Amino acid sequence: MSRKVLSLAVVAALLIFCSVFLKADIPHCVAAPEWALAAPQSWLDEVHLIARLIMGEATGEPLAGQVAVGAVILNRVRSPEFPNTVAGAVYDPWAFESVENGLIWTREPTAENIRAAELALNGWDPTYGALFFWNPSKPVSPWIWTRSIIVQIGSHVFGR
Amino acid sequence: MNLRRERTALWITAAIAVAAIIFGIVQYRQVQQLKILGEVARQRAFFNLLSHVENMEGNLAKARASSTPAQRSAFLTACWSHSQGAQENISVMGMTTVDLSAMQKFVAQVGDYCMVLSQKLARGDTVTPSEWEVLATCETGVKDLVRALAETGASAFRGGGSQAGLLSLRLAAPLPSNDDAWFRGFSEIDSLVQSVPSPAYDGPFSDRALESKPLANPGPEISQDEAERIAIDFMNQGENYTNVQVDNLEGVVPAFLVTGTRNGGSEVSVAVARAGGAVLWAVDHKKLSNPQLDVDAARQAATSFLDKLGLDTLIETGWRKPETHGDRVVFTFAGTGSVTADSRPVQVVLYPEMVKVEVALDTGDIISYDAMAYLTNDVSKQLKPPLVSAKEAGATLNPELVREGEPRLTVIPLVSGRAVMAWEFRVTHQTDTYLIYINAMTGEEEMVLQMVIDESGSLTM
Repeated sequence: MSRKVLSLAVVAALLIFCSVFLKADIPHCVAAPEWALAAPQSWLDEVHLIARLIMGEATGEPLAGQVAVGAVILNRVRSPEFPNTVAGAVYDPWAFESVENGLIWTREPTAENIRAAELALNGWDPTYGALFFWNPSKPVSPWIWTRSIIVQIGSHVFGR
Repeated sequence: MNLRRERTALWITAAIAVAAIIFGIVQYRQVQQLKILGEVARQRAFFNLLSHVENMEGNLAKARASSTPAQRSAFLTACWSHSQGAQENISVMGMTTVDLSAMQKFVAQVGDYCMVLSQKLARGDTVTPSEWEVLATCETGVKDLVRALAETGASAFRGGGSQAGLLSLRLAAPLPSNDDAWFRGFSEIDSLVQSVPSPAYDGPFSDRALESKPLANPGPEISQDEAERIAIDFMNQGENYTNVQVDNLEGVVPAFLVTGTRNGGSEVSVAVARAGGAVLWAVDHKKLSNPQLDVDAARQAATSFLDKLGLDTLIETGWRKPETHGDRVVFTFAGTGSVTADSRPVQVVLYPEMVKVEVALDTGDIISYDAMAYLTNDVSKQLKPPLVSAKEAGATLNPELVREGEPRLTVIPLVSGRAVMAWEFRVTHQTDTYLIYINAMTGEEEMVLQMVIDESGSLTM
């Protein structure tokens, strides 16, 4: 009898383990912090959203390269070919790898990322209106090379 | 004993097998649910898109059929509003295999054109026959888009397909659709919308605005060594820079990008135009200590810096401390010119010729400088005397507004990329402050900016 109980306990333990394991493994949207739930209409919210993208896409790049990534987002907002809000451009499906894999929510942007976002929102565009950027040393879609390259800053090239 | 052990082992194996099966089923169901959620979101976006584009078509037709400017303006505004909705839904379709940017651009430009015509009608102007012809072309394009979208939808939803075709376990997709049909349909739409000529007009998404390029600041070519010297002189302080590197910046204004490390360890980047050697922008990466200066002292530092560069005719047009950092302040300056108005010389503030200077509040050092707009927007040569006086422009203001100070003559950039001369009135309405710009040639209101003023400076929106 005790063996049966033991076996049942093992089954139960396995089920509990599986359910916990499942919970951690299933892809899910990482909960956004409270401020992000408000409509990102204020300048401050846009600074943070752009800073998060800069953190996800351009950490380790020189400051000008980080500003350039922020400028690409703002150039997309102004382009008819992309969504016309900062949030729309950042969350445009498949547009940015760091949004797809949740990297932008895994850690807080640094003071440098925030400064880069502020400089971009202040109108500084070292990319001269670029709409795309990519790292030429990493594997990228061949399509991206059909874009005309405007400038290279750090390890990213920026194009239109 | 062995029998008992075998039984126990059998139990444990069975338990593991059951747990593994349950695990697999639960995981499979959850992945399928996520797939369904994604597919449902795409279908919702598709049907919303179709509805918005149909409404665009309807409103365009009504605008052309209507007889009164007010009604026409209302239909054109409704078309613009539906184009905004359509754009939003295109952007969340999540198509990985086909590019929807041409459709996005087409919808944005038609909506934008409608808004331009609507504003024209609202001002009491007449829409010309050629503008109605352009609108008719837009309407035909939108009609074709509606038909193509409807065909794409019908084909994608016919008979299910690869997107959700593997679903089982009572989790079949509510409307299984076919990936190949989506791909074919949207590829055809892409070709279709690219064949529609873009309307020629002055709107934010017009091709003219998109293609407008800044004027290059001409001058003799400089060498890399000269660029390095100019950059180091610019950031000055007689310091020795290490790790100095010069790269090429290609683009509208080809430049040398000079980077170096200061004595203090901070990285400095300076972009120097290859033609003429002007500094386009510069940024110092230094870490700041606790603020020691107030805004007035920082302003003094920024003004002295500009004076040294020979930019002493610039005037300050605003300042702001970044919300997240109280340790720096960004000043905006604009170029100035002069015209004769009412038989006397009047200063004109040239907003397109803009320079931004960021000052650290610990030492007063300049930590960023951006003169790209100043160096590439030479509007001072195009100044003409205003045809509308300040008094005449002031008479057009809303009587509920309370004026603050004297109006000033300005040149303002429009979203279309054009610049116009306008009288700037600073006014208040209840607790809010606004800048109202009245065109100094036509007397029409060109722009209304709301000012947000707080202890961090001012913002306009």
